[in-house]
Amino acid sequence: MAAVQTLTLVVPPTPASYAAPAAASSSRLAPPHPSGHRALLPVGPAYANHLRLALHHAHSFSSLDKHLEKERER
Amino acid sequence: MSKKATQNGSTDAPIQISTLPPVVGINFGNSYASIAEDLAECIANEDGERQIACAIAFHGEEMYIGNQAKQQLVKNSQNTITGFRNLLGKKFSEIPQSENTTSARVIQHPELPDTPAYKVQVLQPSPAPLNSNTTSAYTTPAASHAPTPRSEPMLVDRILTVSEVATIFIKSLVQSAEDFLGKKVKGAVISVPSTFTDSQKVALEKAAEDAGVTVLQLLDEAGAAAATTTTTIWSGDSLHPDRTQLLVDLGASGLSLSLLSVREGLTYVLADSHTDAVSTAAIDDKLIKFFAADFTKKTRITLPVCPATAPIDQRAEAKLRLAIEHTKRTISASPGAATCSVESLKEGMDYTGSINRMRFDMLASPVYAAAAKQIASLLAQAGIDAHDVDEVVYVGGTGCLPGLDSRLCVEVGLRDGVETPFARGTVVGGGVGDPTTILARGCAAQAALIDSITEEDVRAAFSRGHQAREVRATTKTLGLIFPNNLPENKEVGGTWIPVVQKETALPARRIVSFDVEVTEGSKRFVCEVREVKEGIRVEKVVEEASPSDEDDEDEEPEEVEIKHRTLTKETLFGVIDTQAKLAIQTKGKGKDAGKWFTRVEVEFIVGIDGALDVELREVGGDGAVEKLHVSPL
Ligand SMILES: Nc1ncnc2c1ncn2[C@@H]1O[C@H](COP(=O)(O)OP(=O)(O)OP(=O)(O)O)[C@@H](O)[C@H]1O
Ligand SMILES: [Mg+2]
Repeated sequence: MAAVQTLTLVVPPTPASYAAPAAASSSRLAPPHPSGHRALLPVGPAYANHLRLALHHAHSFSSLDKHLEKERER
Repeated sequence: MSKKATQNGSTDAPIQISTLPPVVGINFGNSYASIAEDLAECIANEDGERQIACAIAFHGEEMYIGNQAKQQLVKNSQNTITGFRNLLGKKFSEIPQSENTTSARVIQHPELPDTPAYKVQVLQPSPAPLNSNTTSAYTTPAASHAPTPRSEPMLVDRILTVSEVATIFIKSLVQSAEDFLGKKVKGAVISVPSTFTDSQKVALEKAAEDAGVTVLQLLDEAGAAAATTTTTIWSGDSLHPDRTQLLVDLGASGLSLSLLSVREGLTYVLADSHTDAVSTAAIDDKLIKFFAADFTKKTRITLPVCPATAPIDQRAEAKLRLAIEHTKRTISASPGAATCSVESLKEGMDYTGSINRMRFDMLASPVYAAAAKQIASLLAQAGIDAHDVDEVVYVGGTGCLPGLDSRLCVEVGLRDGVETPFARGTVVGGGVGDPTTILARGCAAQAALIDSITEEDVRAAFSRGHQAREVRATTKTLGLIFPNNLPENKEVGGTWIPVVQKETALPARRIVSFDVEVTEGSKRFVCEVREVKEGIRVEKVVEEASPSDEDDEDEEPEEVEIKHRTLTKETLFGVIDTQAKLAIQTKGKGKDAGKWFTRVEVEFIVGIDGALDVELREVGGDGAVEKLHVSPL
């Protein structure tokens, strides 16, 4: 499991008058930097897990979680 | 390091817990090296030094390594080798020949083509007689039947390649660590400067392997620093796991800067630069001139230095150059004045002088200013406002100087409260922020990590020549807006909670947890999942003359710039509109008494393909769960 970041903030109540805007179904994330633009420093446990995600888990966090859980149990 | 390895003088050997052979981290600088086995601290050699000078000296039959070798620069400079790290893997023809060398000259190797080498004079024990038990009268001029006495050692030239020098040095570093650890070292991660070419890396790895060291990884200095600064030992509770970090390494051979995007331990370079034009050498020269002038004032003996031409002055300069190492360390370590003492500096006269921090910083001022200028241009190149730098990390000895930190903070225009190891008070006393140990400690942590990896293909990714891992990364910050009419949230119409920061490598997962207030009746809460654009607004404020400035009345009121962060709502991906199932009413008489709160956890996963999955969960069993999916790009 990823680390949970606990924020020390309390969100005030939603005003009754709030009307939700509609999101366009076509909305997509802003295009990421293309590959080749950013290169990770090959360092640290997060990097090792990034490699595992790419090499063994088809970039799926839940698959990596299961693997790491099994490793821990060994 | 003395020629003979003894147990550490000043540090007790640790109690042996693990029986596994250790792996270590080595910071191999051009001026100083250090070695560590864990993130906590560097290992001291048998002379009690943690910063070990990269120097080897030959004197008679002895070989000195480290700070003892450096002392030989005064009287035995032609047999003292320094500055070899930067020459590793270079051809002789690639090395500029300087005529004024203060240590052993780099020569063309007599046999190997285009290879740099050093020629030193050593006393070699003459070969023992062929057969010491011989009683033959033919080989013995003496009338007795006793074996031939060994003759005097002979002065011979010894040629050493740069690579051989590096091997001797690395071997002695590792030997110190092994003496301390009481175990044979299994492997090492070694730091390399950003300026190293591929052939230099090949040469370094070979030099290390020749010293019997298995190289687990050659790690760029920026990576070695990140290996330390992305750990909780470094960050404590105060540093956000997602931050923009500026690495400043003002070394003896130049200034290296890296602007890093640190994202929950995954780090990449946003921009970096290196220049030889800004270095501590300029500070050293100023300091030497300062003390030389003081010596002249006190003794009326002239002492031209930096440059010195007469041999007597060169020797005096060499002595001062050694002595100021102590002076600079004292300046960093304590606010009082620092002394500089040299026995028989010139014409038999001893010298003791002192300098305080203010004076020191005045001498160093042009170098500080030049460093600030380099940083400003790096930020400009990266398109990042100084206000958006969250943390400054110093690497290398000069980074211990508080004057450098305070000057850079002001002159670069870093925001008030920017994180620095000085602000956190972790520099002094070899604390976790100590710039002289960061690289070795990071390499040690990295060595332990690689050593623990069992998958062959994952492990292989750390070996030399393996391609850097190129990634896709986000360009805008993703998060949640909880609508409300609070005036401070006017910009986006609600409380903004950033979840996945821009410049985060994909795939990325973030989970945040916080409290939400709901009204007793509806228990409704809503959030918009959005991208935002972050910016900076500059406000010009005319500063009122403070009462203490009253004497200079003609002074114009000063206009200062105050920077504010701005947010602009951009793409909306969806709205989560739900009701709390687990809200609890606060009891008692406090300000929240009677109000209803629930705790939520929100997970964002941005896939490698740019798809986004959001899941909001009320914390506790059977709470509300809401999901949202945005298709890949
Ligand atoms: N505590 C200290 N305070 C101030 N200056 C220091 C301190 N420790 C070392 N220095 C100075 O830092 C400089 C270089 O040390 P550094 O640790 O950066 O070595 P390095 O990385 O091998 O240098 P380079 O490779 O750039 O030549 C030297 O000029 C040294 O005198
Ligand atoms: Mg350096």
